[in-house]
Amino acid sequence: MWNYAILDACSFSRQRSVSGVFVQVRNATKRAAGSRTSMKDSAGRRLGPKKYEGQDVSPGEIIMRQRGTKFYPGENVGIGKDHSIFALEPGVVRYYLDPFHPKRKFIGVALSRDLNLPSPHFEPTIRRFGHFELTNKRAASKEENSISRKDYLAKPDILKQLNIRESKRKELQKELSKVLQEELKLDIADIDLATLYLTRVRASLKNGFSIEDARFNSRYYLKTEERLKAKRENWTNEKLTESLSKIDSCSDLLNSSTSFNNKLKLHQYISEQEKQALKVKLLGDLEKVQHVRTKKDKNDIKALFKDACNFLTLSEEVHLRRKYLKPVFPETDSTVETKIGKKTIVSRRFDYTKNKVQIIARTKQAYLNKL
Amino acid sequence: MLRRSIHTTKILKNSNANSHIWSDFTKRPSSLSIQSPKVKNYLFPKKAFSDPPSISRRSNRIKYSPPEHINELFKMSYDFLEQRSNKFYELAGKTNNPLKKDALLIKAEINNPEVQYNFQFNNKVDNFKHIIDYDVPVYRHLGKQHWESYGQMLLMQRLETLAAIPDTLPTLVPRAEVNIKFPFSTGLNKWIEPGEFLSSNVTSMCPVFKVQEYDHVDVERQLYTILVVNPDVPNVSNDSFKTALCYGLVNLKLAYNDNLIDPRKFDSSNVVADYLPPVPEKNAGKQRFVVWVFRQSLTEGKQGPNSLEINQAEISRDDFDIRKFTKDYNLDPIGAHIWRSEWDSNVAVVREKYGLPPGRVFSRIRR
Repeated sequence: MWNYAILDACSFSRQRSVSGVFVQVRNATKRAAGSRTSMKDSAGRRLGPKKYEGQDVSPGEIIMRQRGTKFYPGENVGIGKDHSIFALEPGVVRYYLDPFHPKRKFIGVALSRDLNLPSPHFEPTIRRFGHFELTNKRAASKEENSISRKDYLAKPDILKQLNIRESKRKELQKELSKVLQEELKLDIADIDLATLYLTRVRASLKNGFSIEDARFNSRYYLKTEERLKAKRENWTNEKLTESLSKIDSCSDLLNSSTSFNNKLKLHQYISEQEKQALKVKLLGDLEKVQHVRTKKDKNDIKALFKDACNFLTLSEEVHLRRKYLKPVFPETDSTVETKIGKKTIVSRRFDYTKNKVQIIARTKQAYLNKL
Repeated sequence: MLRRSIHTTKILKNSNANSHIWSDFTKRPSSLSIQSPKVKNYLFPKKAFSDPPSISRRSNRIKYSPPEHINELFKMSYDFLEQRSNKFYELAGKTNNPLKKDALLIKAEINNPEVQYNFQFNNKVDNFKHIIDYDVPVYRHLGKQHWESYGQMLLMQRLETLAAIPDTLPTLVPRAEVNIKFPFSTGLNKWIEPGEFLSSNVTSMCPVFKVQEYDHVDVERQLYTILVVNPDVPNVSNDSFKTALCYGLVNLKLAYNDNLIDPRKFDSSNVVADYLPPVPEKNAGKQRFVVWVFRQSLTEGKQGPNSLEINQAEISRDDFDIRKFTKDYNLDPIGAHIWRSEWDSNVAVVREKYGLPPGRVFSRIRR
């Protein structure tokens, strides 16, 4: 078992050291005992309940100091960063269990002594308002006029925008009244009412309502305003009905004599059937001058589109314009040149089917704006 | 693979014998068909191959190449599903139970690509009757699925976190989608998201409601009630809150498609409480305005709609008990909506407009 050769070697080396060359020194390396845990004891953190079941508390009072959430915050209490639980409302402390969280203990504050927690699940919550009415007139008006710093800083800009909008609206109303009186020559008794109605219809149309809805909404707005005014100023029934019928007749007149085109400009009334007829006629005319070759053709087509905004919807008009007034004409023998010369205009495009760049030379007649 | 092809050929033989039920529009409503001829031609091509119309750029259209054999596969699956749909139609013709019949009709059309296309690519709230027709059971089914996937969850989350339930009514089992809009005051054309803060200017005139029923209801007889309540009116005498009734409409008639409730739909006989706009007082906090939509109860055996007679004298608008009201008149809550209002500098103007007294001012700090 023993390897005698190694043992022999050891005994030999010991003999050498004893002979005076190597003296072993033993330093004091023994550690002092007992420092590891006993230095760590701190004073108690004074944890535990500060308020017990049924005690009265006011807002901010601490109910429980704890490490971790031994108790969870229930109704009308908050929890701090060290998990201490404090009251948010004045009331009575309740320690309770909640069937919705069977493994948790809760602390809550009931707003009065006769209330128990948890409060019934399907009943209205019992809340405290807490604010008191300011009866002093000066204090009340001061409080009412006070605004937050954010609002205060934003206010001048908001008022400026409001003024801009208001002036734009005035301008629009002026424009509308001009159209009504000079272009359409309508006999309108109350021009202000008419322009107010039309501006609202226009705004509704711009917001995407259908024309029927826009008309109804505007009329309803005006009528409701009138009814409220009547109520405020204690009008008699006759006066109210008279002014309501005035609104009705005015809006009826405007509905039957004006309409907005797709650019929201006011113009002479066109019925749906007339619109359809005009559309059919326009399509027919466009078919006739299908190939634009000369400047005259171009101007003819542009002339056809001149009033198109009155009877086409915006998308229809855009589609037709794109179809009949193409900026570059289709490639036919007359538009495409085989040779690149001085009078040709060269364009390059990628042919996806052949995966190659194509070079195309066109005559000047191939471009709408060069006719 | 071999087995599958044998299987399909069998069915295709059968399908040739029967009529093509999905493409025969003599008996079916046109809303079950795709309206755009371009898209329809692409879906059921007469030519061998055409470019997909959903890709708008020509270069991208040219670059597009469909997966191999997709057209044959599509045709085969379409024929198979059409064939199966035939059977469901036959069964639906035999049953008398309206719920079962609806379920069968849904099954018959749910896999129709035209129906799926129409529903996916068109407006579901402001639906056009010729595209999405909620009279057709399959569109109601799809609409309900769509609503449950987001709108309903959002609504319930808002109602619960804002404690509209249980502060107004104990709870809600949502069955109808409710949307609100304020088109009269500012001309704004926007459906309000539940829980949104609205300025006093926007809410200065009454909202319009869109109540979309997805269940099978007796459209001819069923009437509805709408209440808007504010459970956050400060009650200084007991240092708490009371509920106010802002708007009350009863005996409203709805259809599956024509269901936007605006003043064209009702007259003064339907109005229990005129609209009073939100006018929160300074420092009174945020106020919730909860819209509740109820089905009025139908008495068995009685013909015609069951309209309610509301005793106006019994209703106290300032201290309204919505629980008692719903119990007294046997109302069944099916849908809700909520918006919030806060004091702003325009509240005084709205108060003056409606002839209300100037609002109280409360202390900024809670005692």
